[in-house]
Amino acid sequence: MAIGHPELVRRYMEYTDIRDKAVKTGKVDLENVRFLTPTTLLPLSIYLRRTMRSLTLIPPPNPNVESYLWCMMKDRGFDTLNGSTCLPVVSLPKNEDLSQPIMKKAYDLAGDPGGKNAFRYLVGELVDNIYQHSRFEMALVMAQQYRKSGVMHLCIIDDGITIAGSLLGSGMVLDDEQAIIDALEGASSKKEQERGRGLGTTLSLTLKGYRGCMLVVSGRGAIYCDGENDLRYRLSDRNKYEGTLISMKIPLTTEEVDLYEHTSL
Amino acid sequence: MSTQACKISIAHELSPDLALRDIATSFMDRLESQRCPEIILDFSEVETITRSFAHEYVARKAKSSLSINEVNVPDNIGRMFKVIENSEKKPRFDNLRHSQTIFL
Repeated sequence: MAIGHPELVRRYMEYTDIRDKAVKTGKVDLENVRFLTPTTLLPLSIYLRRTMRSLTLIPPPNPNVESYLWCMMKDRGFDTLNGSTCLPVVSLPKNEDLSQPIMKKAYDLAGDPGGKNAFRYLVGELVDNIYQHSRFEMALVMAQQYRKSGVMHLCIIDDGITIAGSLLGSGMVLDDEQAIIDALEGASSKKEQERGRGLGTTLSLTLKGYRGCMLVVSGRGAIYCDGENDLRYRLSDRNKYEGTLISMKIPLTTEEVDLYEHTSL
Repeated sequence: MSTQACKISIAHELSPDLALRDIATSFMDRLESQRCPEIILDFSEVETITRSFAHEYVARKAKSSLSINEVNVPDNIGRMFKVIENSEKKPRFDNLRHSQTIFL
């Protein structure tokens, strides 16, 4: 466990701990896992989906989490998510033309903290990045409200080519964490001048508009930002992610966040 | 011979939430294929728009041979079009760029 690091980083490391033990023992051991947040749950779901036939799952004690994981692992598991009215997860279809009702479901599940204008901008831009750049096979969006602590965890994940992989396609050779930072500043695999704004504006809106925090993990790179910390990580092989994970915590606010006031879009 | 403009409600045609660049692209492709040289795009009932969608729409409109006019554009949507017109890339995350790398 990454003691001393911000919560979102620690939650991601919970996933890599589980994965590392699974590689060594052949068992995905969740026996002592009482609670899974989206930052752990989403990469774990994709990992289980890929590897379950060759691994043994020792389920978690929480029956809700267990039934969720079994749902994710079935052959049509990800399709079931989009039919379910209660699981706070949606699976993005590979056919982008089919994505609009799925995104509507994500908005409805999340309840638009900070108002529709700002929240749907966040989700819309992050989903757009996945379709534009990732070449995913599996991609999930999860919005979990924690009413007692007054926050929402919004997490989006794909198993695609990573941010550095996308930039490599247009000739930019970068370490993974530098690729994330360059993408935040507007680097893009697309040639047009105005491209490459989605990730940076999303981070800006999260930090300044919502006063929240964000973690981006892609390949061997990660960055974490909140109002006080700007951290860049280089991950070992054990802790890398083969795809891109973006996780954020924002307050469950009913006050309207002005999309334009706080961000330089 | 007079030609009538074609009026299209973008919220009904696509969604009240305008998002995803490729959705904007395919929408503009459909407009181009309609053989209606003058189009009135009605933005009433549009609630939200992303920068990516707005940028693609504006870029395609600029290249189009069609005459496209927007009506009933809500304030928050109009602001996004202004953002597209006035944008410039500025460094924003200097602290992150210059922070020390943590090995994990």
